[in-house]
Amino acid sequence: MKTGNSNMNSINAVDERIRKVFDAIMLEAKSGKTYFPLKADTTVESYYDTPQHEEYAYFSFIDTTNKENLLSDFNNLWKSDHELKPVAPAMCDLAFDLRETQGEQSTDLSPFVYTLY
Amino acid sequence: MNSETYILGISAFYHDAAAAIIKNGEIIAAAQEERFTRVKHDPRFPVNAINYCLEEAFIEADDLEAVVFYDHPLLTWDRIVKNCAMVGDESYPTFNSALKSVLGIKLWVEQYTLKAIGTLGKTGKIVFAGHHMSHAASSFYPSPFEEAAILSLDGVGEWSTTTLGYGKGNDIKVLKEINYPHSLGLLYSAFTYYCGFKVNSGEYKLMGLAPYGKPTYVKEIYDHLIDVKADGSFRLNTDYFGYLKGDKTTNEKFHALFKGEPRKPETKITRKEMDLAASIQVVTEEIMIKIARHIRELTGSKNLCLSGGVALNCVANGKLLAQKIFDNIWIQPAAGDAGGALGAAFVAYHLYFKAPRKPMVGSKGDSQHGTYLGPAFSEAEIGAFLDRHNYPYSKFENSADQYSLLAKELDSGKILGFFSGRMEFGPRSLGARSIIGDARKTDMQSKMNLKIKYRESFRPFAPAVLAEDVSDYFKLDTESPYMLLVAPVKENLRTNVNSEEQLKENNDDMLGVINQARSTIPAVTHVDFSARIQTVHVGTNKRFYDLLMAFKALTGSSVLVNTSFNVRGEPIVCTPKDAYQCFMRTEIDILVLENFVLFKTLQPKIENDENWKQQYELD
Repeated sequence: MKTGNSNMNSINAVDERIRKVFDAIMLEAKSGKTYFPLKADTTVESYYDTPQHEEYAYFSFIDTTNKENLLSDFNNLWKSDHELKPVAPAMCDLAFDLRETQGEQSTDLSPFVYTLY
Repeated sequence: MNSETYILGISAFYHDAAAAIIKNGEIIAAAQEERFTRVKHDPRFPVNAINYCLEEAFIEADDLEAVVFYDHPLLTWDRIVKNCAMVGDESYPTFNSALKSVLGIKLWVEQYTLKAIGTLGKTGKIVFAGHHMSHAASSFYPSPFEEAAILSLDGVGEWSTTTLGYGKGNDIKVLKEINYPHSLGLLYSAFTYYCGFKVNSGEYKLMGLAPYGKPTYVKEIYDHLIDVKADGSFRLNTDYFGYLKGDKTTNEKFHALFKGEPRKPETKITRKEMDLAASIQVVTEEIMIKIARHIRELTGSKNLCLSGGVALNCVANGKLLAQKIFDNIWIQPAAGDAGGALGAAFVAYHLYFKAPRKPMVGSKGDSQHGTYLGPAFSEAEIGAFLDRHNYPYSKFENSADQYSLLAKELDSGKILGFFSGRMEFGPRSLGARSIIGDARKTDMQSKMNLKIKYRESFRPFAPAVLAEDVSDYFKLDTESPYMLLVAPVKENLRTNVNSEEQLKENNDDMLGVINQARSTIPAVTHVDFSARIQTVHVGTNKRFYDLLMAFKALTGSSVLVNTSFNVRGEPIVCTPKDAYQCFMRTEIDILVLENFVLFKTLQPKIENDENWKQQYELD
């Protein structure tokens, strides 16, 4: 795995690509799809769900041998979320490119390691 | 699958990276990466812990049947993407950094593994175990139960924050779950942050603070922050939390509810923080008890296995035990993410390879081996280390003589650094890497805090007690080998101290009341007369047991103070060198390295070590 430093131009280029992916997600999100509830619901007796991602709950695999296989995993992940599928190819490209450019892992611990990273 | 099946489990990239190895379903070794790198809670890929596990198993990496990771990065990414879609444009900074982190690093577990050990095991690919399945497996498979209800509670793993399951034989089934953003762990962490402690490590301090306060904010919490159904399921009101947007755990609405900004770290703790701590502790306990009742009904099992970071709340565990909803409770001692490495290995063995479960062995039938699963150092290795540096020592050929001497030193008020056998796996020191003192001494708590741990702490220390004597001192009729249960000190040992009155007299200054003798074992008696108990068993740590026996023979007391062998912000010591350094940097009087005993007064001064405190970030 390469751990060399990236120059400023390549960082900006990556950020631009990430921004495009984000904007595409936001565009799809404007359809108003709700992915999870945000508040209490007085009409239900219980908030327990049946397992939502059973395919991944026990054990599974991710194929990162090439972009096509990773894209297939993304498509499988989002088989019920058609609005997210269009951004999957760009995410796969970014994943493979970032693998080459991301630096060493940090020892820093964000309080949001669980929620957002 | 081979007749000798070795499986390596890995947890990394979030908090407390760790590795674990099992052979034919039996735990061989497990360790957190922080112990080797000396970086507290080190999240990096655990190269050192992996290499240690392979060495302990006496195998080459090529012998591994499978390598298993405890979390599915794409499913985590799914949650982050959908979270950002829900939040909108203002989540872009979070999205940017999360994408680089998840898709740039965490997705590439195979590459990190190949770089570290050159193989992915005979399966040829990484097996990704579900995050909560890893927690569940870490508590069920090593437990003494043939069948059990399984409850996993944490901040969040992939999507789940709470899972209810059932295990029987070699199988586990997830029955119900609660998903992000509704999380008991994140709710507790929000209060941890608001009260001025570090999220992901300060939760223990908040729990320790709770007995000083009154639960005066419980109604506000239920009215505004969380809705709890009769079956214990819950939903947060996300209007009050900042973690969806990624800037803070709490937000302005949360601050307005509790009438003020978060307490700044290291500033004075006020009545408000004490009452908030007491309140969120009560809410946590009530929810855990409701969930426990529900899972009891759901599964019909008399046994409960607990894991996930919330299961480290030993006060809540003690309350749960006292409810007698279950006949038996077993809690994974590495209940947080580190234990996920162990659970992931079990998932591969029992669920992927479908291998049967073996009959239970070890302390009270569990197969966790007292959680002494880390490195040990031989007499030859320790002797060589001491001789190489010309450190003066006494070496004991007769352990009875050694413990007799140590008991006398403890009785005279001396403090020991006790290094014995294999290092503990999990956050607690259990007599393998411990600082030990006499629990009867009224000044022991302040001495250990100020001169050993270098902290002005309101937290009491934990008692280690001979397992057979536990009910002489505490209202506990079960074993607590992993220091995960809190129970009251018996009334006949208590002194007539009114801590509430004392707090008032001291203008709510906890440090003014902390050192009051509340019982005949004051160093381990909290302000509410509770204690976080470790029962010590001859079968799992004979040397620590023998020390307690010698102390009892001399003094009649079978309780010692046991705290982790480190200073504030430092990982628990791993090697004789780490132990010697900590010994010399603190006012520990005597260092015990297996059968070697070193007296501080005889040691040469360490040169050029004055700035060592800057080495560790405060936790």
